Amino acid sequence: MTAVILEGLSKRFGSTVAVNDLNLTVADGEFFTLLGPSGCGKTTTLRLIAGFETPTAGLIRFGDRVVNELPPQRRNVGMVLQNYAVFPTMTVFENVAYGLEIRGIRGKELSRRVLSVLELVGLSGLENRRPEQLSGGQLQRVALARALVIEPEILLLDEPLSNLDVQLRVSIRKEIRRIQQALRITTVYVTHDQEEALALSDRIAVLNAGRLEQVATPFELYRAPATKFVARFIGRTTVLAGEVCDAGPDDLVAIRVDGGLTLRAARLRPVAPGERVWVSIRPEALNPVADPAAANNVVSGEVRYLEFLGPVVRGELKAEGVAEPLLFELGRPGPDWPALRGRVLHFEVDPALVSYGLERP
Amino acid sequence: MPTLKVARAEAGPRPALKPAVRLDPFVLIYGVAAAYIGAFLILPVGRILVETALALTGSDRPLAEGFTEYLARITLNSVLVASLAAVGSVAIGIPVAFFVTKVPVPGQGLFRVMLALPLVTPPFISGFATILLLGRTGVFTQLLGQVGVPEINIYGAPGLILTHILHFTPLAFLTVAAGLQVVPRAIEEAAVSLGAGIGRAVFRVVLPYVWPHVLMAAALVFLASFGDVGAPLLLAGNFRVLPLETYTAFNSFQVDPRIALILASWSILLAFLVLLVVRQLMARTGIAHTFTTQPFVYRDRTLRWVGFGFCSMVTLILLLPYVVIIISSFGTVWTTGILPAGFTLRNYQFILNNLQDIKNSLILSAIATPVCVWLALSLGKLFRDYGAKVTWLDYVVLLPFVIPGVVIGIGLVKTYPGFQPFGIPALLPIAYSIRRLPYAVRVVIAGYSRLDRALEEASAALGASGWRTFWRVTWPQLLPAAVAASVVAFIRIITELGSTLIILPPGWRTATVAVFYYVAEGFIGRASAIAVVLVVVVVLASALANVDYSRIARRLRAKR
Repeated sequence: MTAVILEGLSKRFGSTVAVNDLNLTVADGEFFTLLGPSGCGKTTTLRLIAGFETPTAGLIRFGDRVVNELPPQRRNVGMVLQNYAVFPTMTVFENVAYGLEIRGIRGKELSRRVLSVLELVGLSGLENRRPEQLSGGQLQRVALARALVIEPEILLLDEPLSNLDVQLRVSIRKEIRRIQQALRITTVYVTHDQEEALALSDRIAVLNAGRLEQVATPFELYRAPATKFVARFIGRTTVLAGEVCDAGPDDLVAIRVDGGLTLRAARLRPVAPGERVWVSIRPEALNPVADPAAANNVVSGEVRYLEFLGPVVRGELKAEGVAEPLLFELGRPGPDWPALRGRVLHFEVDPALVSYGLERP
Repeated sequence: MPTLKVARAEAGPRPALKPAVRLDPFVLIYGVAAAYIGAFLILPVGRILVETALALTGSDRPLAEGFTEYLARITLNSVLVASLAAVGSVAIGIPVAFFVTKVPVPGQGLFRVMLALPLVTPPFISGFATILLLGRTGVFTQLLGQVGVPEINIYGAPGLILTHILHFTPLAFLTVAAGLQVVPRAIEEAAVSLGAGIGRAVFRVVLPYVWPHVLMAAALVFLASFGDVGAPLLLAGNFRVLPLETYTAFNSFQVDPRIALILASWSILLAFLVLLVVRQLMARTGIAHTFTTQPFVYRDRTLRWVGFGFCSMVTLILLLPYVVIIISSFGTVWTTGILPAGFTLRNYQFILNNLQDIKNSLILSAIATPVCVWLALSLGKLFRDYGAKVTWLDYVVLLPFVIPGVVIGIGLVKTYPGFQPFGIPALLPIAYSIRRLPYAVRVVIAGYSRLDRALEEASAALGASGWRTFWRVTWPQLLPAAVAASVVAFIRIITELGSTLIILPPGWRTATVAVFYYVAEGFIGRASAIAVVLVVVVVLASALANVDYSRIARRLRAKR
């Protein structure tokens, strides 16, 4: 298998910069996701790796080979696209066999490999179907089988699930992860859906406006976002502005947020007193307490807005000493949940679920 | 999971990719196509312009007295005829298009089919029919004469305008209907739900939306009328129009040879002007929006029947010429009365015994059609692969559409005099393939635009060369468009007249030209019969074009 290394990669279309000085290493056998809002350059990056776009600057390496000049035909990558791109004039079998025929594989060997990969993706028995006789989920499996059968060095997936309905999305997502784990194939996955990215990936690169915001494991991205953008893009959170008042010797940092309240956060990165920072507080960091005097790191305030979501009610707290409303969640709501509106609640804030970073000048 | 192990472990050594083809064969194909267009379109057109410049600067001999006035007059005549034909056709075409697409007029499908007939036949057939109906001994002339209406002289501008309106109204109708078909339902629903009556909705919302199509319809009729030489040849009399004057000046030994050149150059310059307009309109009416939703319909009983009456009347009038020609083809002599003096099959017998003209037409079309479609396919792929980089090529491809056939013929004859390998007047199929290229290209480009680019990329990612991708992935899907383009090209080629008249060597005749000879020699029955045969051929061909080939292909596959 092969690592993918991007060095100073840039791509310009006319005056717009789609990808801006990207440096990334996708390890051999890793499931790596490019995550970001639409227009962040993630698909362009994938197309650069596949060879459908040529970089304006920078290097693309597969292992130790620079592939910048290599046409897509010779990169030996498997590609799966959002709209499946299953050849409409060929059967399922012919679609999957196509890449093998190009590699000179014929006869028994050909059908053995096609049938085995169809079994892998769960399409056994549908070899002779025409694409117009298949459902969206089946088409996406054909596309996956067609990409896998050539044993690509790298598997590239461009939002493969976004045309499917929600339930199918979750089940095919599991399929993809299972197959990737079984084959241990280096995989680059593009999506704008953060939940999908968290569920699938070994590591995730968050892109914004062509630039890299952070590369980390799903856990790190969630718990220790490097930038305000990442904190907002992954999961739910309240982002406040504040100033470091005590960088303390212990593992806690005290930050006075705009509005006057001082909160403690687990130490993530070195800061000095007086520095301006952003503070991200996850809703699940707020644990309700009955007696605020008996707890540390407390916020108190009036419930301003409340919505019922099934497992939780989510609300906004107009907390004393905090300029912005704070997101909170209460689990296992009872039938009297609407009565919480307007009530004053007290929460203890878990420092481990509070993150911070220096404001960019 | 055992299957997974199978997939990995038994896969064996990774098969090596064959080295990709170094020289892209498409580059060679583009090269040949470019050379063909360069040699047979750009060079001849350039040659006319250069020769004209040389003739004007290299000679001290002044042009004939009053030439400028003459040039201005015939230009104005042509513009007048083309403008009035455009206005008339659009004026009739818009309501018909509205009734057929926006009101469920009873029998709307039938109207569509019947109104398509004049579209596939050459204009001189309509011109011929105008003579049969309104000429000195025409049916209507006589009927009107009996009730005391004096004979109208249709030879000249009135006959020409009338003929062109009769002939080109379907073109306007279809262009506007295509626009009406894609008006998003939502804007009409919004207008109606805001309380707009039908009239207000149509004039304030619908017509403004399809305005580009209306302009396009007018431009298409204008161009077709402006470039037509067939109807003027039969009908113009002493009324002089540009293409006919170019033709007669070129063929006459008495006229100063520079005149034909100047007229041809002048036509080319005018064509360039029109080209700019048409190109703009095409961008706005093109295949850009292809909504497949059902168009909004106005349910109104009165409108339904008013529309039905109007459409029936228009269809009757537009199809009358064909009825007259069919009657005439079975007639003996038809100089008095509303029917011929007697009926006979002799005209058809004669044609069966003298099949050479039709054979010539078929042979020449059979040679020119594949060349034309091949060019269109190559250019279509070039546009698809290098779209933004070759927009200028768009103009080149549209040139034969705006330059009159007579002028293209003159350019070819001037550039390649006496080019007749193996006794075949090779310039004819060449002229045809160039002249009808815009039609074929449009169909092919529409076909390409329906193909998902992701399929080609998926194929490339699997290691296929561009050549293999084309033949395995693109071509099977493009086939229906290629068939349609072939039929369209064939129909347009077999009815071509302008360049035929110029290039045709002595002793050769095509079916289109034969009609003129017979009319000129007074064999109206024979002329009618050969016209009927020609119409039957193109109608059969266009019926083939309307077959849904992709559906048949799917069925065949399903059976397999």
